[in-house]
Amino acid sequence: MQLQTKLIKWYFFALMCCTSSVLKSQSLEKLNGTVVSEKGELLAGVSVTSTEVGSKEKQTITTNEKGLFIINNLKAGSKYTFVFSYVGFQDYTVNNYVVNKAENNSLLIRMIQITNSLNEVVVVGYGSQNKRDVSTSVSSLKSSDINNFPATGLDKALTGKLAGVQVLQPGGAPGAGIAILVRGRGTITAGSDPLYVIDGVPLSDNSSDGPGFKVNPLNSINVNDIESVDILKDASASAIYGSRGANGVVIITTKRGKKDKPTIALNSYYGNQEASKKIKMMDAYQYADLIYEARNATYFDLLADRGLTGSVTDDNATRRIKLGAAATNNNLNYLMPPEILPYLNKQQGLPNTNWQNEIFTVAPMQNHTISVGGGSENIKYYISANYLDQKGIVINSGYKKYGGRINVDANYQKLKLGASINYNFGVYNFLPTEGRFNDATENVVSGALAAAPFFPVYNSNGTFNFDQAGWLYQQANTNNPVALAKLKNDKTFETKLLSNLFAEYEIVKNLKYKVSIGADISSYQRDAFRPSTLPDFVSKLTPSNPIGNYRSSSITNWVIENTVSYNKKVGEHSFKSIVGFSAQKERQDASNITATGYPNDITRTLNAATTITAFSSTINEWSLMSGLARVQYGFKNKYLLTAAIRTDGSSRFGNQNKWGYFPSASAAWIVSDENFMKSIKAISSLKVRASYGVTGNFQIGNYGSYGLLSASNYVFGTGSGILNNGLALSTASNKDLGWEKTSAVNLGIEVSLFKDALQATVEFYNNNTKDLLLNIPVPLSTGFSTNLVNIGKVNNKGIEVTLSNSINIGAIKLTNTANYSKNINKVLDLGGANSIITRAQGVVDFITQVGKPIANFYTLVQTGIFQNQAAIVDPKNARVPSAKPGDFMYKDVNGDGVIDNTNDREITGNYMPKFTYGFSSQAQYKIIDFSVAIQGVYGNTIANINQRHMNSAEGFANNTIEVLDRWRSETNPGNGRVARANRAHRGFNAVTSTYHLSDGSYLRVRDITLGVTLPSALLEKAKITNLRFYITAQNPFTFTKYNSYNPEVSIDSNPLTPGIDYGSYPLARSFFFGLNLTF
Amino acid sequence: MKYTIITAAILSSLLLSCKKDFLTLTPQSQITDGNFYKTSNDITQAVTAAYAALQSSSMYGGHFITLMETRSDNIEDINPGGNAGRDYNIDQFLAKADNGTFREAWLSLYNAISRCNNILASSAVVNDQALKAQYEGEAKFLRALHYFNVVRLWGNAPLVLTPINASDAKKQIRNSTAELYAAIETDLKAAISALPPSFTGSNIGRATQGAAKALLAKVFLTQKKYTDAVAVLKDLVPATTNIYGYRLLPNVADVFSVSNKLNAEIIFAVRYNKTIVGQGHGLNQYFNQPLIDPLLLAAYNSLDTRRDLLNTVTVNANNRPVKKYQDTFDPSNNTLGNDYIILRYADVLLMYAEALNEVGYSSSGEAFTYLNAVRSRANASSYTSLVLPDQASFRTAVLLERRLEFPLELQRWFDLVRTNTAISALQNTGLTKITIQPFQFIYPVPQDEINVMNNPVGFPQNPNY
Repeated sequence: MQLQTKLIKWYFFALMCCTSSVLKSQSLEKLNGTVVSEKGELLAGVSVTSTEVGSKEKQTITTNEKGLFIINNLKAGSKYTFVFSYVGFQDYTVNNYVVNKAENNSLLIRMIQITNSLNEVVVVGYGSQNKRDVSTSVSSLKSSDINNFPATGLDKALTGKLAGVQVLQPGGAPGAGIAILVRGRGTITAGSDPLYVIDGVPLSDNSSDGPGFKVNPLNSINVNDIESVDILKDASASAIYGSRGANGVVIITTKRGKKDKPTIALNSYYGNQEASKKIKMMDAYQYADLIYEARNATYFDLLADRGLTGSVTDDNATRRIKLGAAATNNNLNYLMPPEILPYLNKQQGLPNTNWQNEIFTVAPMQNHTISVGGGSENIKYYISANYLDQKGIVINSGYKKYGGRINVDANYQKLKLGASINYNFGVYNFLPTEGRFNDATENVVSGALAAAPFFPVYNSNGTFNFDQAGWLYQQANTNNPVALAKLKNDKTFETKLLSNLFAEYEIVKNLKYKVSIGADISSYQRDAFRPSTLPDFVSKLTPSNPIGNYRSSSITNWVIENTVSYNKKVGEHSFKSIVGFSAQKERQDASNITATGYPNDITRTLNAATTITAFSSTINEWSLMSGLARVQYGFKNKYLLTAAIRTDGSSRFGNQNKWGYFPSASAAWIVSDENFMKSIKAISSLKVRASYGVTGNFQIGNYGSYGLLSASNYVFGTGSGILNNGLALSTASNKDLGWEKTSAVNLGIEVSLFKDALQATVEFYNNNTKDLLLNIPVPLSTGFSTNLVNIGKVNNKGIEVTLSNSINIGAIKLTNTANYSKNINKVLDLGGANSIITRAQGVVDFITQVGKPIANFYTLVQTGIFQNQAAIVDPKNARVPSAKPGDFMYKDVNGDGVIDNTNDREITGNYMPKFTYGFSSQAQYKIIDFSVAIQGVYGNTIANINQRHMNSAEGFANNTIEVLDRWRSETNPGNGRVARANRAHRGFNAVTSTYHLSDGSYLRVRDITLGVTLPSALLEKAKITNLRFYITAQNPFTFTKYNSYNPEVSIDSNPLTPGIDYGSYPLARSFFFGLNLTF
Repeated sequence: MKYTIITAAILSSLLLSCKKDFLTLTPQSQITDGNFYKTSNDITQAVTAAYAALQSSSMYGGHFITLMETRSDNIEDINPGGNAGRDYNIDQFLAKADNGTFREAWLSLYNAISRCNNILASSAVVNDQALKAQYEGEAKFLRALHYFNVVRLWGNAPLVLTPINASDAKKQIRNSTAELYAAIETDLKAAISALPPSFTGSNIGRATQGAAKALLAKVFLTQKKYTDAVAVLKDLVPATTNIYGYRLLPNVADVFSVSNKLNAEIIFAVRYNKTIVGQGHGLNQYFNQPLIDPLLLAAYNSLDTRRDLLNTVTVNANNRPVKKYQDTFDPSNNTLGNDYIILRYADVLLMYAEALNEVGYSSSGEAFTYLNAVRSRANASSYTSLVLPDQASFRTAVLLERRLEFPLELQRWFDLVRTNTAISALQNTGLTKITIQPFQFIYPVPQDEINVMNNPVGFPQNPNY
């Protein structure tokens, strides 16, 4: 208060002096002044340039830490121009100032802050900083970047927006899990998820598959409640989270009330979603032709093996006789299924079911959030309620959520209290969609792709048609996917409570003590029932024995943190320091019961079952204890240093190595504040920074240091004996198990050009991860083949570029942001082994090899198709055992002249992209706003192993229309890619090869939004502050060569086997109408 | 200052309130080495698991058939494409060190050994001294059996007698066969004194003193320590009067009958029970329509009751096993339940006959008695000193008799190797004739093990592999 009064006095004094100035003889005078911000903060380091009008004489000085400046040697009576410039503020110019002879020349300058620049506050973990002062690599998004378009979750809002942050949506199912990769993968065995910290509470790391399917850990956060998201990317930034920082840290801060009149905001949208892509499958007539050709090929191959001949017109009885099968055997792959015959004759009006059309639907989705924020000097509050209802684009799937949040802050003298409480209740209607079409999970999407179009969805009497479930002739026994989706029920109820309470007390000036207690509690109850109306798994008949499953999982994770912070400015030196202690513990209780023997489908809960077929109940715990300290030092506000250390002890590691130490240091220099830079007008700000830090990764099983025992039973006693329970070690223990450590160097340059019209951030990093938590081969004489140990090294290095500009073209305000990131991953050491070969889904191999990136595909290389017998016997072509014309040729990798599926494999691609990029653009013209966001990935490979059925030309399951271009003869060779039709393939056509791999590069227009904000004049009468309507198209276009639903797919979470597509939930294309309303 | 003190007090109280064991969480739903091997009951279960190892598909439940029977001149693998040619290559002497069967068998054997080592390292928790001795005896018997297989399959091999971790294992070298045999003998002698002559009731099927003696005799025989072998076998042979009650069943087919398990002829067997989940076995492919050497089939005289055991019977369309391993599939588990016999009384008698002959041929000696006991039980004519006039001819007759008595019982390959007749046998089969070399008497050490050990001096590959 006192200061303000003083300033005002000076200001009037200065004004009075100006007006009463009188021209006198030229003498040298001085000018005093103070520079403050709009908020009245004294600004130190502001550069002041004075120029005499009509002369070239210039002088430049800077303000001191009290914002004061004195310019000497000004000629009395002359006119001067003063230019004030300061990073983060608009230049302030005083023109034609006449210097008085008296000693009372004085100015008070209020500089206006530039938004979207270095003065934004960035949350850095256990505190926040001005972006200007940050010396580490942090990417941030503000609420305005998130809230102006519909986003079902934070992950959607982040996608493509930040350099070095790759958000993957492997599944499109409502509420399904996500994967966020910060700067590539540094780990092989341990998890690669970043640490999420919401309002200071580090989330549980394993809550994502509580109900038995992957759910999104960020579902509990309502996007509209988010104030900011800050991603700590380099080790120096994330080292403050120590053992969990290696994969980056995502810090989410929610909105808090402001000292203001209550602000009520309503954010709503409603829209429809549809499958963004359907795969073009054969219709019944095309599929019948394929089956016909494939079965004849098999027939002729078998005849040839026996030196016999036959004709395509041989009926099934003849075929059986010729090949010596029993007359009653209909389950042979060279017979003609009678179902296809009318189709072969091109008879019209037969069933021709497009199963994808039957399971996909246009699904509505709506989301509404209402919030109230406000407060007084002492109490501030923010309250919000949220409702989300997302129906799935696959029939009978969906996710519904009801949520609420209360954030309260209270001040009493030196005491500050705060609470954040977020409660969510969610309901998932889950449908299995991933994996093999005919496995026990009965996947609906892959089932629909495989299902034969000969069968109708419903019988004429309205019941479901299950003919294909029991179809003989060695055809795919797919269960009617529509029936699976409609008849089964599988509901999961989710409750999540995320809360944080804190108290902060200022013990003496600048010395604060803070205690914070957080809890992350989630529970899932999943109830599933497979009714008798679905065919039995074995007999394929109805009624089946109903199967019920109930599982529950509850996770309680609490954390307590105590910190003491001390901030001090001494002259041009500023210090911020913090020390703290924290403890965290998690307990997960899970149970899972499967039962059968229900008398009917009426009572579907377990009490009606008579036989329990499987059950389990488990408890899992982990704990973490930590100490941390950090000092941030600034000199003249342009030389900035940060040093931090954290120590973590974890229950997950062996007794010898429970504790780890994670030091870090960083420095930044604001070059543009140096005098020699002032003359370079093009550069309005320039900062360079460098950091080094060590972080850890503890995402391994809870009890990895112990050897586990498994049942190993035996029979003793007379006769055949009775069962004796035995137990033997099934994994080796490792009492020395410890942290996986990443040491990382980061160099960054932030530059702002042409009066902030163009801003660029460029980062280079080099991360070395050592002591990998790796299951390595050990001497077999230990009795085990592998052991989880700390060994091996992986390097990630990369570059990230973010460019943004904002320009005004007439009345159009335009803001563009583009980002590019490239990460190069390399395995340096695998603990003595040269490579690890991992097989996934039983059919596709990966190799992780020293000197190469993690998890390369390791397959045969298909080089073409044998056109004739001469090509098969040609010694120039490697021999493919049992291949015939029309079968695949392969590259002879080991050069022995014969293809075998072990020694002729080579590296054929990687799921990690060569680079990723994003672009977004916002334009505002008066009341209209328009934005578009694009993201892309380049240079990755995906194994679409669903092609083993869909593109096999075997005719076992339905095939895509690509197979219409199959090889038929030397003169009709098709597209040169697809083999001949053959129900029992010869050669290696079915072995995973480059035929099954695809380029996964894509460019996706993620959203296009057009909004209209009603003019405020119109709204004032209704007391509305702001009202905006918008329409959005999400995922309207994707440009890719990828031949299945979604090029982001990856069904395995194992870091050694990424990028497999075995039938996945397609991404939705959505159109929404929404409004933002503020009172 | 007052507040600083308060803060410090709060901080330190919070620190202290955390129990010391805050970071020591033991699994509550899983059994680990952190909470097992602590009680007598734990050891009981660990011993059961040591027996269970025998059932492994990499041991008696599978790979041993390839390594010990298919390799010999008795049967032949005719499926070069099956299982990546692994079994075919072993049969045809083409297998290299990267053949997965070697790795799996080696790993399973050392895993089984580690089970025994864990028992012996923690048996002190068993308070009942008699039970403790029994468990130690069983563990030592099993460990000796495993090392006996290791040394016969690979020659020199690491000798691990205590639980070891990976870094200790890396320092291991391939101990000499002499060291291995010494350890085997020590274990078996300890087992003989620790184990009871027989078990009753629900304990039947455990290793007995008799089993340890029979195994020790075989160990001596393999080392050509014939006098020692005779000394051990002496206790076992007196028919009807041996304290173990071993005798030949009158009808050889009864020995293998699934309704006559652990009969008086069985000394030790791997046990199965098809009606219990996980305790049955699939019919091993080599006992399912095996391609048996026609010369072997022809070697039986027409009345020999053992010949019929090699005929196949139809269990169902896909399964036609030899009669020796005939059983019906359990309807709910779809498994079979024959025991796999490791040691039986006929083996003891033939070993005794062989050992006596090697100590000194006697035209009217006991050796003839025991050789003829086995023959006459099978309706084969008795040998006299007219037919077998000298030590060499008796030696040949015993070897032939072992072939006729034990086909598909995992004896043949080791018999050929220890009698140094493998080269000639494989050149004189009625199937594919193969010229083999002495280095092929043992198998290559799994390539993975050579790679991991990376110690060409202390841990070399077997020559010529």
